[in-house]
Amino acid sequence: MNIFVYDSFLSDKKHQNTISKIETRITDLGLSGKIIRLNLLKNHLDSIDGEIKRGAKTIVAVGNNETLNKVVNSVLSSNHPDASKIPIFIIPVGKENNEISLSLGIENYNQACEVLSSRRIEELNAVEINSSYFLSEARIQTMGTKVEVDESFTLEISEQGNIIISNLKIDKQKALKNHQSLPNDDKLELFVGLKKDKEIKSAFMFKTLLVSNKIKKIIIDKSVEITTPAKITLSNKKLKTIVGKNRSF
Amino acid sequence: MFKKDEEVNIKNTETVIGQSIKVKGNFFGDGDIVVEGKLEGAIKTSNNLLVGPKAIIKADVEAKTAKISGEITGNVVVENFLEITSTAKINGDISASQISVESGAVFNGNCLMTKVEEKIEEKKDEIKK
Repeated sequence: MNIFVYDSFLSDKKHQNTISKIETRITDLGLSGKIIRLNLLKNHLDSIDGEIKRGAKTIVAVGNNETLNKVVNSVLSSNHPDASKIPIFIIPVGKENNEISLSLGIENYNQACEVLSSRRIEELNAVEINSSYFLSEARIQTMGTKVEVDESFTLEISEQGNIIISNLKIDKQKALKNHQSLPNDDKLELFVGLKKDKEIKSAFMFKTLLVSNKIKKIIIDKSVEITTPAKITLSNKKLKTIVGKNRSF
Repeated sequence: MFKKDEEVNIKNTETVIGQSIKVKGNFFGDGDIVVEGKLEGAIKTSNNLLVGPKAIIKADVEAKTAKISGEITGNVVVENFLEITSTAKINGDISASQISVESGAVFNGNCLMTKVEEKIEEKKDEIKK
């Protein structure tokens, strides 16, 4: 059965029309399934894990980057042996905070329903950060941040900007040649994007990263805050992900 | 960033250390490395190294080929071709099988020319063993 995970922000009346259109199209395509509505009192990990145990065929995040991150974390944290075999997907609702769906080749909710129907599956890397996971990127401000790379060297950055740990490129900043952040290349990249520069001018490949900042937190998948110190490494778990033809990789 | 060079040609850049970055520690890689910022410790790659004109390196350097335009305090060991441009300042010994030094470069240290033929013979002996 397809499981549709509706994020809590969708209960806002302004999204009702969109949700109705999505549900109609899903029914027309014969993809209907069970709807789980997330709310502040419901633990998404338990809710989605319960559906994994009951034999979910596909888990569809309906919402934004944060919704997809919740699904990613639920699937990868599940102890069920079949969890890693279940494809995940996102139907984006709203134009803001939906950069990951664009990189996956899903432009809007209308097209998303067609992409779900075509079921083109790619196996993508996931990144582990402390006890959580992310699919696209982790980002923290440069000032006050200490970075240790592969227990071999440290980075000190004297200008304002961002440190970006990238698995799947989601921003529009021009990438360096040979650093395209492909989520299926088993590589992790660290970029430093300075405020004064229009393009990225520093890049490193790494296996393990230790990041600390006494004040600032790391933002993963452009939506979830993670406190430091944080250990970041490529997860040995993969994500079966339904993607569109126009994906960025 | 750099003009293409017939001898030291950076194609597969794995690491770029930008101007506002300082790296401390042992920096070892397999791909091409471009240094425009500061580095302290050691740097080693089995491929090509480019050191930009504003780079400051306080480390021993090892690479397959290297083009140096910045400042290095430490020994430079290059397997093949070492190009030292007019803006380079090297305080340390250098070793390479081919060396080019442009007018204006500053170099304080000993220079050792290694022979490619010797290395080929060494590798042949290793294969036989």
